[in-house]
Amino acid sequence: MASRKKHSVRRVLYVAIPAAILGSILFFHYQHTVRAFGPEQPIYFSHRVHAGVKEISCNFCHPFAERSRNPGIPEMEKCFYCHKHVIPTHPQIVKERQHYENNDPVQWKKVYYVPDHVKFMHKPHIKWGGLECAECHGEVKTMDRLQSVDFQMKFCITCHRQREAQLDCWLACHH
Amino acid sequence: MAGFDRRDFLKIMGLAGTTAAMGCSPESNRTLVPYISPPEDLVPGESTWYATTCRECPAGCGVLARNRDGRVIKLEGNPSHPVNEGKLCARGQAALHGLYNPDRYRQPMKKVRRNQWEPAQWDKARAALADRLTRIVNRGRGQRIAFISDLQTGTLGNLVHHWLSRMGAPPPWIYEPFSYEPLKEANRIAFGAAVLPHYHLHEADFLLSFGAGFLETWLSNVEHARSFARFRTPHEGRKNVFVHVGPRFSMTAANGDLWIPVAPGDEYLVALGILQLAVKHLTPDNISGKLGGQLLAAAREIPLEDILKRTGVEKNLLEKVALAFAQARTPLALAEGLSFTSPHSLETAVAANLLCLVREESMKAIDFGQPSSVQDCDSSRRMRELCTRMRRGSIELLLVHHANPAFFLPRSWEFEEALQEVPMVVSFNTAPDDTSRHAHWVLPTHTPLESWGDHVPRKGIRGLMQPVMGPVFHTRHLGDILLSVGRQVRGPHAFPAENFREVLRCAVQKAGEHEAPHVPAREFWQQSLRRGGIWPAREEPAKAPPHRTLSFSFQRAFRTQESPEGLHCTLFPTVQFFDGRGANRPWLQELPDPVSQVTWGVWVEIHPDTARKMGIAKGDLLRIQSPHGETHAPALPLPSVAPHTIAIPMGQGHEEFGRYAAIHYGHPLHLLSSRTDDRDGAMERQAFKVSLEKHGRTIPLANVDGSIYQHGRGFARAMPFREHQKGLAAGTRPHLYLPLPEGYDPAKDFYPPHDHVDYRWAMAIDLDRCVGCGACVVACNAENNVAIVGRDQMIKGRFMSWLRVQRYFEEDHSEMRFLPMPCQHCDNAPCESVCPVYAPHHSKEGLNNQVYNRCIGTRFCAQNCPYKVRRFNWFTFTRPEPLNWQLNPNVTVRQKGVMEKCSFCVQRIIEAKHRARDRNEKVQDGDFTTACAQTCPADAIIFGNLMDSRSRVRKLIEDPRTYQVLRELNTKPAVFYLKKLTQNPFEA
Repeated sequence: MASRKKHSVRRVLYVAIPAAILGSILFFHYQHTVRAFGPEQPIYFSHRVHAGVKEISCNFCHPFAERSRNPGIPEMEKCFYCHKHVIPTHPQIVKERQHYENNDPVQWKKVYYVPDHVKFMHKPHIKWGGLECAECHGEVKTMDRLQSVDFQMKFCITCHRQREAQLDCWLACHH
Repeated sequence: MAGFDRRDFLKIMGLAGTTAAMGCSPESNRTLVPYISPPEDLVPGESTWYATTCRECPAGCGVLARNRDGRVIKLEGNPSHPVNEGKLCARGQAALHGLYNPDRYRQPMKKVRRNQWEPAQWDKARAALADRLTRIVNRGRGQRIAFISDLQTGTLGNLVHHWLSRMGAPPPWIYEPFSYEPLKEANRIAFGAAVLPHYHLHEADFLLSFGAGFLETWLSNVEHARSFARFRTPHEGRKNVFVHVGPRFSMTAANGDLWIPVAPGDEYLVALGILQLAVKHLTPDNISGKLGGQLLAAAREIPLEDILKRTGVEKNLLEKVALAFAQARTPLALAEGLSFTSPHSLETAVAANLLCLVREESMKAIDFGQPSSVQDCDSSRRMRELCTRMRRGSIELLLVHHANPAFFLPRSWEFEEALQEVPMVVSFNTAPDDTSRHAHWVLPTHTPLESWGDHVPRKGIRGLMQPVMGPVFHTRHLGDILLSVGRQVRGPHAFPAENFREVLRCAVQKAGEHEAPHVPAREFWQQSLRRGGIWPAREEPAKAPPHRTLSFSFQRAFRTQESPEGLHCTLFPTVQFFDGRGANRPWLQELPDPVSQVTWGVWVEIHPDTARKMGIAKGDLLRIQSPHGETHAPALPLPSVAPHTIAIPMGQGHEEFGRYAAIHYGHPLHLLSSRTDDRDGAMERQAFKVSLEKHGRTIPLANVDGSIYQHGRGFARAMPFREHQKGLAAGTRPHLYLPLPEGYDPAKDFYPPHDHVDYRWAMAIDLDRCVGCGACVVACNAENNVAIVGRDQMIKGRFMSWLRVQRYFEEDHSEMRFLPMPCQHCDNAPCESVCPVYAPHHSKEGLNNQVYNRCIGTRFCAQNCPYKVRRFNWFTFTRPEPLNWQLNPNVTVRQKGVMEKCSFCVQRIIEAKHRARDRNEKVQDGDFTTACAQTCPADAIIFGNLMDSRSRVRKLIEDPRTYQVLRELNTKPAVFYLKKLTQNPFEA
């Protein structure tokens, strides 16, 4: 009797645990597709509106892409160059203004990143490679919430091979 | 849970673990934080450089601080600064560890009871000080205020003086442990001026040092290292001779052509002997008149026979040194002039000055026109007086700024006991130390890197300081504290300036009216800040002393009798810790001592023969007793001292100085008495001997040298100077295996040659210039995020430094050689061929890449590397906050299980290439250099492109003394060494 009970417990476990694992795989897979919309940001900033509809140049807010490794993100002051006059009473702008006035910077969620052992630099890609922002970042002009790009090494190396760019490990990225 | 056995558990866990490992990475927790309003001249991801002045010692080298995204990550010398000309020593490099030290005071502290502190608000702390001051000042008892400070020369020093006078208090006690009172007094005796002149070593053609460690800590070590390198560079077919006389084969001595070991305190006798023997070679032109007579009389005061008998120096040798001295045009003799290192320091300094008096030309090398500001420090005698007053209870308020007398003063002074008698002690320190732990209030000040200020290292040079980043903690500038407290006590009109920065700006602009009358004041201020200070455009020729005279008797010293029992003892400051203020910087703790190669600890150098006779082994903890006190330290048998002498380093043995200064024993000053010398006011160092006693305990020493010898392997080579001259004349070329296609030899090489495009990076290290100071090691640590492993891992040999300065003794112990050893970036790299995953990889530009993200940690490469330059991360070494703020964002921080090694600063190569591409050209020689080469005070390291036939490195390796370490292995290293040039002009 005891051995049959023991057997059944085992049988249940053999079914239940893989089922749970399969379930979690599906769950996280689903999660992942949700993630494709990109993370929710503390302020509902829309790249579609700014870069797409209003056609503000990428360079206006990210002015260092061509001369530094980091493109830079706009300082909070910059938002109010326009929003002092444009929809200043919009709830999200009011929220942004509160942050600004309280000296409390908005903590944007980072959407695009590479691992720490990759030393990516914008300048050579933009200035000498002549790449358009969208080639790596996707059509941000069409996105409200930015969608992250999975920058695996293949992503980089395919392009580097095509364009005969640096292929040396250290001199290029991994130092 | 019945029936769920271990086997099932493992199966299920295995399945679950695999699934977990398969993916589902979490959402990014990375954030981007924008500026509210952008700071000017900041480009994110690019560095901004700010000029300031190093305050790690009074030498006052100019610094350029590299600020990256608001944090300073690296210090480099300011190339236009007249003191250091772009170079920094190990201590200067490690100033960042003072700034980011995790043990710093983070806000004001109030002592509640013994060893118990609680944080306080700034308003409260300031009010506490102001209240006490008001009470004292209102009662007219300002004389009962004492202010102890480290050397403050510029505007802050003036403000302190002014502030104290407004409080009715006596002037501050300027306390620097190394204040060279005997040297000052000796200069008064011989030259009529109690000053510390500026020494131009390169003007001399023969150098005698009586214990002066001018390459380590003496007055201005970076400047002297540069000057010494110029002195030593062969020109016109000769190489100047340097003879070191002293009890220890120090780093400075190792750079000499001859070391004459003497017992501590006998240095002056050797000087007198040289003078007596030199006389017969001197013509009346050289030594004449009244001065000549005086000199001879002084020199002959001690008969030559007695000198030879007492010192044990061979007459033959002394005669030859005397002859060389007499034949020199501008001989220069230096003495350490620190009272506690050896007895009779005043006699030694006077005797050295005697030698400088012989020829008038010697005065070219001693500049009395630019005296060092160190001469403004107070003597130990004045500290002694303060100590007595404190003990008598006649000091009501003691203010201490950045000075640490409780550490340095010998226990016999009972300074700590005297501190207990003061009702209120306020410390303006940056981090807890031996003195501030006795304070009632701590009002923490900025470190020099966060401060406005100026510093005058010597007359005519005013280095400016500006904050190179925002304050790390809630600290304030001393000037601002004094101004606001002063206003509270004496009313708003007494101190009208808004803040210290304004005081400084006014002072500099006022100086501008005199220095550059045509430049508008604002512009002058900004120009000066950008340049790093105010100094004359050209170096002035040396100014002569007021007069040259002499009346001094050596009899008193000579008649002092020592007990025949025991061993002589010399105490020495080290290049890494100075007077001990460097001990809380982990980079400096982990930097091997140049001579002993010991890290993280204190040691006693004892001659191996003496140790064997006394049954003392390495690491045996010894009790060292003098008639006045005792200290404890583990033994290190090393032929760096004579058999009758032991040597103990200063700098360790802090009672409290943060987590990195964890060695609480071994402070050698405790061997001294509390007396001061009545002649120069210095701490008196009696001629005593010490006795050694074994504790029975062993303390492992974390030294990094396997053996002190080369065992005939020829790593660090030397060649006689004459032979080199002959080689040069004959046009001899060195026999090298070049790491270029032209070095390919099908008979020897298994692999085909590497093709390089445009660049093949290479390094030349001139062993004749390298002084062994270790500045390169710390610069490398800072640039490349090299981990600090700590004492325990160090003992296991798991040090991480990418660059070692190896020290080798010759078998007869007559010579010591230093060999900086970075990765050799071989063309036939043995590491590359054994890695199963191609993590070491040969780049197009000849670099031997180590790809961290590929490395799986087999360590085959380290095993196969004949140079032993690869370092394995046994752990993920971390840095406590905010030490990690220093990390260079351009370099990956390595983690557990990964191999790493010198990269030839690949991130700098990339930056240089980008800069060149901006100009549409290739990288030119001299556009950039590696961190080690950048800071080397002697310019021993040259980095460049081997494919550029005009590059300096390419030209240097054509010198006949070039060699490659372990060339016979056919690894074709890209690091070329230039043999040290030896000469023995005194050979029989």
